Amino acid sequence: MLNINFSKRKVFVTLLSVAMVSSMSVSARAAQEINVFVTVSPSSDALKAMGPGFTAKTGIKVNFITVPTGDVVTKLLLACQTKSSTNDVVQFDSQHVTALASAGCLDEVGLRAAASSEYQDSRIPNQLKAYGTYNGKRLGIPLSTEPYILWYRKDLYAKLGLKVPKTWTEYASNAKKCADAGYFGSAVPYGPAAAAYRIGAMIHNYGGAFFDKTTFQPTFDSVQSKAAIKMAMDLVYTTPASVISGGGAVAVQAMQELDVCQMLNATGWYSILGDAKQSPKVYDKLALADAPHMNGSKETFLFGWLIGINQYSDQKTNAWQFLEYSLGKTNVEAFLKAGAPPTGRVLFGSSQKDLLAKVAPYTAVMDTANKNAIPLYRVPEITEIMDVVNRGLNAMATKQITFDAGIAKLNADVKAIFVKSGKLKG
Amino acid sequence: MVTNEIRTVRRYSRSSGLAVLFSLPGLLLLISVVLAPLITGFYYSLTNSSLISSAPTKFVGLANYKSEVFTAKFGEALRVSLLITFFSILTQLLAGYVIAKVLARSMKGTSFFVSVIMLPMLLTPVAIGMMWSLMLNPDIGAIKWLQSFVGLDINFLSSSGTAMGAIIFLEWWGHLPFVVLVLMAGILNLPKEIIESASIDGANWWQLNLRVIIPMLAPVIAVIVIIRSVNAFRMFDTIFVLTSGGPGNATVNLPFLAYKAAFTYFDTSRASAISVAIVAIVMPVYFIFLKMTKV
Repeated sequence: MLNINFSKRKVFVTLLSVAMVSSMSVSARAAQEINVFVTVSPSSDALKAMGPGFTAKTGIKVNFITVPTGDVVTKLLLACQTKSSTNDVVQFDSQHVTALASAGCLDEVGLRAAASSEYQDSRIPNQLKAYGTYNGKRLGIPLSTEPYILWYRKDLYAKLGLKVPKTWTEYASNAKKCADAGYFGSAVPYGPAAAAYRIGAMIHNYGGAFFDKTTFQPTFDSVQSKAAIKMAMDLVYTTPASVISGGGAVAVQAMQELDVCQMLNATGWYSILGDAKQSPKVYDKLALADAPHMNGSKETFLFGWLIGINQYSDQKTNAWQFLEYSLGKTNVEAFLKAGAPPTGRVLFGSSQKDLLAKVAPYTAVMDTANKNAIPLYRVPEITEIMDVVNRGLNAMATKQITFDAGIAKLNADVKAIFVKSGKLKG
Repeated sequence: MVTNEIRTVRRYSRSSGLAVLFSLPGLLLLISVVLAPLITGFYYSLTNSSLISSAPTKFVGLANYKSEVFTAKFGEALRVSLLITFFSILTQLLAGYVIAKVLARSMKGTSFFVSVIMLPMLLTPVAIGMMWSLMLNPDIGAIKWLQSFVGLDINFLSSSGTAMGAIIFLEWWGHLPFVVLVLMAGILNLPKEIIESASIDGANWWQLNLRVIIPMLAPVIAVIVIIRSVNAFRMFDTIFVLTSGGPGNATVNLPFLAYKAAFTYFDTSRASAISVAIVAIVMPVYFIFLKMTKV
């Protein structure tokens, strides 16, 4: 029979050893090594393709940490709370600049960009610089730029004799003609996690806003905002049912599978809708144009991936070197050839322009949108505001509440958020 | 005699000391994965902690409970949670009992049907949500195609009633196999003599089921209700994938409300207050059932 004699001392030493080994499990990183935190996207695929060349040139090893898109901001915020230096270069959604900046997660990458002759910051349009900026500090540089533009079916437009709409009134008129002919007129998503973005752009086109930027008073009941929301709600009848409950991806799916005349959606979807394999029914029937506007206002929200440097990184110089190498002037073509969507940088030289026209034939439309772009509201409460506006608009589109009650609810919900944060009195 | 007793006591205390030592890892694991998060969550619920603030955390007392728990929004989410729990379990018990009774008879093909019925149990809730969201797609989904045969055209995700119905159905469908399995095991273990005696005494089908079999299955049913009610109350995945809480806020239940606070608003203190409230609501129910069934 096995006789184990446990002395108190032996047990104590064993437990202590286990504890010490566990505490030493955080291994030190080599000095010539950086970690690049990315999510699944064509942009990050291109970044990954740049890694070996960078290592060959500098001797700095590049490790990629890939996380699901939905986890990006949470993982970054949690790492930031613990002042973790694990991530050096970080990819993030432009709409999360405010959250990451408020938490102090990002280094001021703008200073490095401005000082770099390789990066050539002067080729980045000011609007693109603005959407990576918070409180005067530029915390992200564009990795991909994806404004909303008009997508339309050339074949249906030709069949019905429609013209490319310049204004939302013309868009609505086209939608009606499509509906009368038995097609879907529009695919602007009204889902509970999506409605505020595109309808928000429409509100700005009409000269309205979610709230007054100085007083923080909600302005959904302004004449302009109400007119934009009314126009959006008037399009529900000719929108595919799935798009009424869905988001941008569902709208893309509707464009792929159904006869939808037009939609407002981000340029980033071109990698799917312009691909013969993924969209065999429509890839050669789709055309892109400037987003409709109204009352002379062409303002639109700018979206896309930004990239920056972790505030707590101990490899900031090496991290910037990698960004400079991947996004700088020397490797513009290599980066595009690796499958990256355009960053929005102004290109020179026919070979660069030809290449861009090949991989992203919507560049001209994108450039126009960039010129009219504004960043999403830069207030820390923005994620909560977008959520309540998404849900309010969705409730209106699905007839859970009436138009007037919906407008009142949007105002009340946004006001409650500002009251809670102390910007407004209750 | 006394010396022997002392030896026994010493041996016992030595072995019980070893028992404590051996159970220490399990105890530490329990403390670290159950108690520590609960205590930490409660602590956060009393602060202004937020993932998007670099300011030092302050103690705010019960402010988060006042702003998040004692509100109409919380009440509405509680109503959604209760509706999902009540209707999914009620329908699971009814259907589960009928299916279990049928499968408990040794017939040809029983094992095949058991295998088929168990299939949803093998799927994760996210997979179930994804699969059904494709099927319920009102434009290209299989349900739309099926509806066309009977002249219907219902978009299940566009109204609060039908969206709630869809959520309850998925909860029912995904966990029905568990209910069937447990009820079938219970039915197969019932003393046959009692059932035969009742039959000989002239009990009809209803009497046999309502007055003999179901009362004997009460402990099994209680276990199902305990496990399923706690699970259904904290259901999240299906709502996240299928409706995102919509239309509007119609299918936002308590866990989804906590999720939004934590991962959409990045407000850990508000999320913690909601989570502590969920625990406070579920715990008494759990203890009442434990006491009732003496499990």
